[in-house]
Amino acid sequence: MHKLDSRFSNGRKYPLIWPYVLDSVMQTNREKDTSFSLLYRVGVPSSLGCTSAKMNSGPCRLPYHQHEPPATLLLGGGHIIMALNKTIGTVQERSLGTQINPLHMLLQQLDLAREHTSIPSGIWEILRRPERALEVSVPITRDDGEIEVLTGYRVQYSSARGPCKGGLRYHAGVTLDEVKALAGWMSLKCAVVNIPYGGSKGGIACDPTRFSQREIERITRCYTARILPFIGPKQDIPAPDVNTNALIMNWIVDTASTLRGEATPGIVTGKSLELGGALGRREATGRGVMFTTIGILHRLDIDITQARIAIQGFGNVGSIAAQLLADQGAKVVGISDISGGYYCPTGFDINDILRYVETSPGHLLAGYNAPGMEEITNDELLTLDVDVLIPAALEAQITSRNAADVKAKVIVEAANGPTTPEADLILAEKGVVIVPDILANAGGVVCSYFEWVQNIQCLAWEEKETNQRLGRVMQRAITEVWDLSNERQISLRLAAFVLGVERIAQAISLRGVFL
Amino acid sequence: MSLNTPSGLLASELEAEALLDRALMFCADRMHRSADQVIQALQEGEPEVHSTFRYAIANGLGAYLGNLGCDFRAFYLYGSAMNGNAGIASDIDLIIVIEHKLDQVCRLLQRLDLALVTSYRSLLGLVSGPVGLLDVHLVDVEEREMRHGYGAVLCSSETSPICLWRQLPEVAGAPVVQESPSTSRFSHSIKR
Repeated sequence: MHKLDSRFSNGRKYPLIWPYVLDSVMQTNREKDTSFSLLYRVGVPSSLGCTSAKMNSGPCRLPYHQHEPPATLLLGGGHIIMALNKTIGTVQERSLGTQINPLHMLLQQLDLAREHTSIPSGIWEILRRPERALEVSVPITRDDGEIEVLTGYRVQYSSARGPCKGGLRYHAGVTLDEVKALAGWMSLKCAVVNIPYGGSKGGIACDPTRFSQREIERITRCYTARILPFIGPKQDIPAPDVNTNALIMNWIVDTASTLRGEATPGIVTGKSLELGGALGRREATGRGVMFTTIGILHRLDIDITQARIAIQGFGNVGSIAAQLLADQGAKVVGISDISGGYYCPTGFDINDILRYVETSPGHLLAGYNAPGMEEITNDELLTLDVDVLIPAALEAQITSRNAADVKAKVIVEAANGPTTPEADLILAEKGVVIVPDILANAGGVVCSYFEWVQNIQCLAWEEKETNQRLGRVMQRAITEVWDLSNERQISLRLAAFVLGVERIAQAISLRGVFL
Repeated sequence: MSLNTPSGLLASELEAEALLDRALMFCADRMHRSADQVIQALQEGEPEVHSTFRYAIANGLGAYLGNLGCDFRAFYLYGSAMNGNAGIASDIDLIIVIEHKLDQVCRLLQRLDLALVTSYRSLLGLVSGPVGLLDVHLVDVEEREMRHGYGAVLCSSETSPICLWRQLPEVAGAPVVQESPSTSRFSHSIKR
């Protein structure tokens, strides 16, 4: 063992830094030199009441040149780097560290889009900044009587095209800049599908697994009260996002209605049907993926009834998309979820699978059997010889490691960010058409728009009407992005961004600058 | 758990810290200093160390892009890093020759730049600092042959960029070949 290993022996703690190094795990040698990496866990003892249990584990890499308690630690997955040898600060300050700032990424993306537009510089400067960024403290009383204070955010990036619209997430890694970036991205998404919304996002920096349901309710109600002056059906409409659901939306409706003394179901979307939720909302993202897939195949002269499709992820989005595409005559030959993948060259009976997962343990595919079916890995599913690949699971699934092996002619990004920039490039050179997430999974926000429309009109549409309208909106968006891509000779991903940016800029320009 | 990051906000796969670590090691080896001394010299803005450091970063970046197996043809370095007068805020001037210019290349390079500059600021403990570390110009094969735009810079005797990496044209698709740092003109400017 390397002599430095003893300095990170099990149980060794550095009392003046945060998080504490809890224990070392292993030491690895690098190639061709004497440098090394230490992998070890960091975390904060629960006695300190850390607001981020997420940070309690994960391998960390110690750069070889550091011979002191490390200046930076890279948490597993590469999302967070924390400075350790500085003065103690908040978890949020730590989390910023050298993490790549998502707001900078958004600005980069906007700048890239600008090269293909002729937006005046003044309008551009407006577009590059969020209209309003709100930070609130969220004190709650824990079930044991202790008081804990969390931090919440709500960012309204642009209201140029209409009331702001965006989800609310509960996650330990939430930062203001991340919320700003996601709000900007929502502005673009709403503009791409041409619904009369601006973009916003909200979040509370907390690990919801540390809280009971009653505590989550108190967090939600307190957060709602704090941001209430800035949200509403005509101002900003939250919706479910990471770790939030219909129940949390219901609490927001109740809190807002109680404090305002009037029924305000239109203050959120994604709530329960009984409180004014929309029929078809649950299926909307998967249905949007279906419309997108059919639209792209039509433009590539591929007959949907001859198309072979593989879908990674069999949750809400993947399973609905599979069912609807099979209903259209497509042959779904590959499916997978976290329990594994399955391949059936003659095509699966999707309704049979849906019946199976209804009662299977964890609603997983594991244990499903059908004639002619074989088990494959999730990695193998991504490289199946199919016409369409629909990643509907997690981000960063198609990477430089497997992109060269992808055989699909079309990738429809049902999940957010399934393709890394490296893979994007490799696939482009292979001639693979990628339908970007900003377009492919926009069905959810379009249906949210329909829910909001119904709420403010005090109407309840039949599900059929919602689905028909969703089809019209998605097909129009596909046509516009496709045409722009051809016209300017750019990828569909960039075309979607350019379309969104130009629409927001046009709205800002038409409204003029107030005072 | 997935953080549900949209494609527009997704970072590149580059392990920027590892690349900077290797660049640091390269400097330490070439200049017979410890890694800590190199970091200190970088913080103090020593031009020679900054130039060597940037050369090593460019070298690593060339190898990284070359190994992606895409239509990259060559990777050139010029400017302050090559001339030996780079400073703490200097960028790395690069010309990348590519078969066809694609917006996906621009997106990837933006992400790489962001990853590198973020790690660079962290390494040197810079609270504020350069917003970008790379100044990249894409040149397609036609521009190089016609000497248009930055294709002309490649042939300029005044600028004289050095080739850090190139794909051998006669064996396109074969494993990439990287020039040894010791054979480049730049190596002569490094004090040993």
